[in-house]
Amino acid sequence: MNKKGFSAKKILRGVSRLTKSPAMQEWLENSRRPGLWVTAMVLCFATVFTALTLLLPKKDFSEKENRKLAQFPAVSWAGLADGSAARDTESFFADQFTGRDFWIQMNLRFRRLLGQKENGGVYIGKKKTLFLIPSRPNEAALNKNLSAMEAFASANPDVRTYVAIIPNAVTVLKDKLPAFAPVPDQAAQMQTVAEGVPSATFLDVTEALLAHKDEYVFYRTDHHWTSLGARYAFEEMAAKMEITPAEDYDVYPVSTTFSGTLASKSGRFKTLDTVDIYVPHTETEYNVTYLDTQEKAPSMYKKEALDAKDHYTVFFGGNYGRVDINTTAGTGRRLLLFKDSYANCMIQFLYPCFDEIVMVDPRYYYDSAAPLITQHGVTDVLYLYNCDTFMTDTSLADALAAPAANPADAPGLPAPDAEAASPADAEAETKAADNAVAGNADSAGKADD
Amino acid sequence: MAFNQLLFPFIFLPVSVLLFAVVPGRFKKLTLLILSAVFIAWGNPGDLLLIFLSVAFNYASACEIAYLKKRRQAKKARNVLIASVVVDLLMLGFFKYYNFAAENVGALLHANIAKNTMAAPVGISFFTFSVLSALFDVYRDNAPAPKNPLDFALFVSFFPKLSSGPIIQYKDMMPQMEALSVTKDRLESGLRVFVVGLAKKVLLANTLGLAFTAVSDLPTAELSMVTAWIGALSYTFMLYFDFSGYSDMAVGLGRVFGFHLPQNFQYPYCSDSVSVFWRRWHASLGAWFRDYVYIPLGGSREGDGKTVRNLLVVWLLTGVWHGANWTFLVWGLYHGLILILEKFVFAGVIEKLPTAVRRVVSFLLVTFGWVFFFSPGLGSAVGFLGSMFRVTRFIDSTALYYLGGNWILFLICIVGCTPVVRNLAVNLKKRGYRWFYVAGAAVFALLFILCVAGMVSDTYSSFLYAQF
Repeated sequence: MNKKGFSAKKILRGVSRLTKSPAMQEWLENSRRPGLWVTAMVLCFATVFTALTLLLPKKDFSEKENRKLAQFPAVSWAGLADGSAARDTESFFADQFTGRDFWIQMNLRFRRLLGQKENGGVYIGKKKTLFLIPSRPNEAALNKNLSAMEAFASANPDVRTYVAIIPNAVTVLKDKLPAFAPVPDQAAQMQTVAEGVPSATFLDVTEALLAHKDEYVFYRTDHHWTSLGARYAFEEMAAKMEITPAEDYDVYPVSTTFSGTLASKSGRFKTLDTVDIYVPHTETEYNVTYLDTQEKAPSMYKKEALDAKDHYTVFFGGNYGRVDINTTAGTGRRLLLFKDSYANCMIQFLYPCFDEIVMVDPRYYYDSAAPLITQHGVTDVLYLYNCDTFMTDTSLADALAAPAANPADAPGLPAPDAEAASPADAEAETKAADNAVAGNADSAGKADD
Repeated sequence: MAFNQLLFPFIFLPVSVLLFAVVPGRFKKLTLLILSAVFIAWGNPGDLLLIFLSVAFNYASACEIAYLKKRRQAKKARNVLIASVVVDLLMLGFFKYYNFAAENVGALLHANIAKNTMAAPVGISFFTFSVLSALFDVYRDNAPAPKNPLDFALFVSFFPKLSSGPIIQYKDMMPQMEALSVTKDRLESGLRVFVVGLAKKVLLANTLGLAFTAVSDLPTAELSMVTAWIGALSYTFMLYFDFSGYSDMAVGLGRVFGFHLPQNFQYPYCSDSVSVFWRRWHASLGAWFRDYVYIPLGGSREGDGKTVRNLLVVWLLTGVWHGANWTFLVWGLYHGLILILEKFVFAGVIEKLPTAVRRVVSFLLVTFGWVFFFSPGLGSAVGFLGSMFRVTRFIDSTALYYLGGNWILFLICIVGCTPVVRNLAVNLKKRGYRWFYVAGAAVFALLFILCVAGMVSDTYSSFLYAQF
């Protein structure tokens, strides 16, 4: 820079020489009117940016916010009369405002300068780590879920029941949180769960994760755990579940450019994550059946997800009401898995240990899960949730409830051979499609946790 | 449309100024009126009709009152005044208090009374007080009846002050209707005030709002004393910068178009008594109640008993004006009570106290009052006040976290509540430092740019997948 003659000193000298020149002196004399400057600036600024906003080509989609951007509303009398045209115009102007991302970053920087350590429900932690701020537990729903789980376990005494509640990054990576950031006591929350389902074996993986807290066990820009984190947890769980993990794994980094939900929520895009998949050294083969769509696949990995925004959906393409995995393991054990998205990257470790895994995500599953036990000869039930989601879940108890009295009233109760997606699942699809954005639209899975 | 939405400073304002500047003099008022109509319709086209009805009705009433007074039919004029005021108050009451009354009466009678689902028109509390001031001013010969209905319509609906005041009185605004124009001086000083107001709202109030929401979302029982104070102080500052910011913007815009709107806030948190606070906080509302309620009731001239009664009436009404909830009523009475105590009981004591102590005490009294203002119910207000004195749980890590995230903001706010910056600017100006003007312009530029960033960010929302 210096050689090119643009050093700060030179600029300053230039400016001071300029201010001492007679022409400048006179101009300064006449311009004792900061208001005029402001007026000129505000008006110029307004004109330039308004013109740019209106004239530059419009954007359809914001990668950073992961949503469609508002367009100029279609003019209609109805829209004018109910005021929606006005609101839509406001959204249009704000969404298409020239340099939108730049302005948002500037504001974030301003707030960070003031010392604020969170934005959009996300803690901005040390070492570029972002944390989803856990929600307040929904006590009523939690108690309902726990009693339903206990009742389900008592109703199936021959089936081994395990509960694994995974502590979130706020617990495991505590030392990377902003100073004094308030977080719930997840150990106490897990204790409540363990005590709420005495018939089940509670699998506490906190220590296993804490032992590796300096490794890459959680994504920095996303609220999920990494495959590595899932592996450490799996090894801890395997011992108690009396299953034998694979000797070793081939690790493939399938993405090094993953920018997760926390980056979008907080507006902080300082780093990118790597998504690894773990392929076990095993003879066992498997195939995947998506009951919502009747799609069958030879692999749990969806490559298409890597072209979309959310690379975590490389595992199964997101969440589905029910997914069956049939394997050639020959262990004689069949698993019914109630889960949220944390389980999606756990299956790669679980599948060599079970002949069949029936994966139920109660948030998108509208039947009773009770008949699945006999239909599939289930020997093991596992509840695998991350703590934050589990504390606020409102759908598990319904899935565990007894089936409708008359089977005919419960259409699509899946039989092993003739499985049909229930109408409720179809409804979930529509909802998802409504909300799906360009990137996620092609993989109809729901990436919510 | 809010002043702090991008569309306002970027499109509506420049277009308004330009239009207003280029149309010939006799069309300027009409232009402003049309702009005001667009402004109202932008939020909700239905409001336009209600405001039009109010304008038409009150214009007719004011003319009728003036006509009857001219014919020396004082009694009839009085009846028209009373009838019109009742109609205006009924309209205000319907939109503002009906649901609250229905709820409470219903609970009392164990009946289900139908609710009003229509949204209140924008600024109804403000424009109703404007039209009432017109009726009173005409009735009391403080100002002549409106000649031109357009003038009257503009007085009621002038967009800078329509939605949040200041409540300019009829007798003060009507004489300004003549000779409206844009001048370079007014444009520059008006926009300067506007930018200051915008910065107060977007940079300070909105940021304080985050801290306040965070604290108020915590269960009251879990709050440590320091956390509760952080919550109360962030609300105290937020309310000031929000409301005074909005008033500044209105005053600045008024000035651009040639209207002098009254200063609504004069560093109220520096007051050395609560009485002084109320002369500096939302001064236009205080002036309204003084001129149209307190003084007509006899003010403080008819003995201590009546003064106390009058004060209580005014403060009850002030409380209720702010909203339909018991908390506002209690808040109003709380201030009424403090004023009575200041005036009659502690006047001697207060005089002997050092100014600094008086200021701190007044500030704290006002802060406690805001707890009633922001709490959803009386129970939670008392609970929150309890946390503010919970010495057994003085501080916890949550408090440290919010302190860490907000202390700089609080410092800026404390400075911003005092005239320090303004005095400094005035001083530097007096000494004629040349660089001051450049620096001043740079500061304004920076403020405006940060405001734009803030306004864009207010619309930031990331799509969070399917959340059912």
